[in-house]
Amino acid sequence: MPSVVVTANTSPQTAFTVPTNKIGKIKFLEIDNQSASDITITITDTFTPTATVGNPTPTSVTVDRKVITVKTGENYTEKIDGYIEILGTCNVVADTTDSACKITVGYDFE
Amino acid sequence: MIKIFTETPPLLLPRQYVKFTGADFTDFVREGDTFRIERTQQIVYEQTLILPSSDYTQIDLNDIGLYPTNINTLYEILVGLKGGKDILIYPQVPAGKYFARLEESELFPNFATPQLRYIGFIDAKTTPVDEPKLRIHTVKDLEPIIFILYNDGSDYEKLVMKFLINRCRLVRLSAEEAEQIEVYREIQHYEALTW
Repeated sequence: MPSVVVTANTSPQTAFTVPTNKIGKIKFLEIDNQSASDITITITDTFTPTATVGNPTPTSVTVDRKVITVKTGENYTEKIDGYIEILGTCNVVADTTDSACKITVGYDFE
Repeated sequence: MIKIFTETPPLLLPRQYVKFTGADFTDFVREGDTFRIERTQQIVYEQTLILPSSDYTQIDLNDIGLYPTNINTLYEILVGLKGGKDILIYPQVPAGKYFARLEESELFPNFATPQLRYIGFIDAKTTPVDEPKLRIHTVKDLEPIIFILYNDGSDYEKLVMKFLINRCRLVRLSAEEAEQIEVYREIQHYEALTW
């Protein structure tokens, strides 16, 4: 299972991009917050939907898939068993930029 | 022309025969015409859609290249679906006419009405990508086959449609030759299935 580590940043940090003909599944999440304050992490999914009758000229959308607040000094881990689906690009966004907070995302494509 | 099986159907092979029945398919393929499969080639082709909740789109199979451009070619297509667990597909042939409907005049597919939404649909459980059970035959200039795709879920959903195209080179048999053939695949015109 591939995984990627990013540091907490208020700018979106790309964890992975799902190939067009695949569906991404987040399998595992670890947030090691060694910064001096609590940090809220948001996992987002950015993609462009297909043109539909309701929206014939779609533009890129970003959907929040999971939001977690981790207290200072804590190491949060969660085995997700694939219930978070990612359709496009998975980004990690934090409410604070701090390299002492590391986020590990384990994922797979189906 | 469009058929759902309980198991993945076998592909046509060289030296097998096909007979078109039920009605004329095109100017080149008339009712009763029989052909020998001379050659085949298998091509995998995938198309992906992301649909918002409670919205729909439609795909003309001709527009995405699933009709041959050569009059001597038959496309035998197995369609498998991945993802999109709440996406419902309603085939229409020709455009505007639902292929699968019940005989009661009011019981035709209509995703806008909850009572009619679950009539005549195909989903990823019906024809999973690893065991496709939906088979379609197309020839050049065949009337449009349309897929109406509706997202019945509460979130965006991604559907991957995997088409395994068995591209068959046809050789037309004379009436005398066709009479000798006892084993062939019958390809029924949709009109024969929508009585």
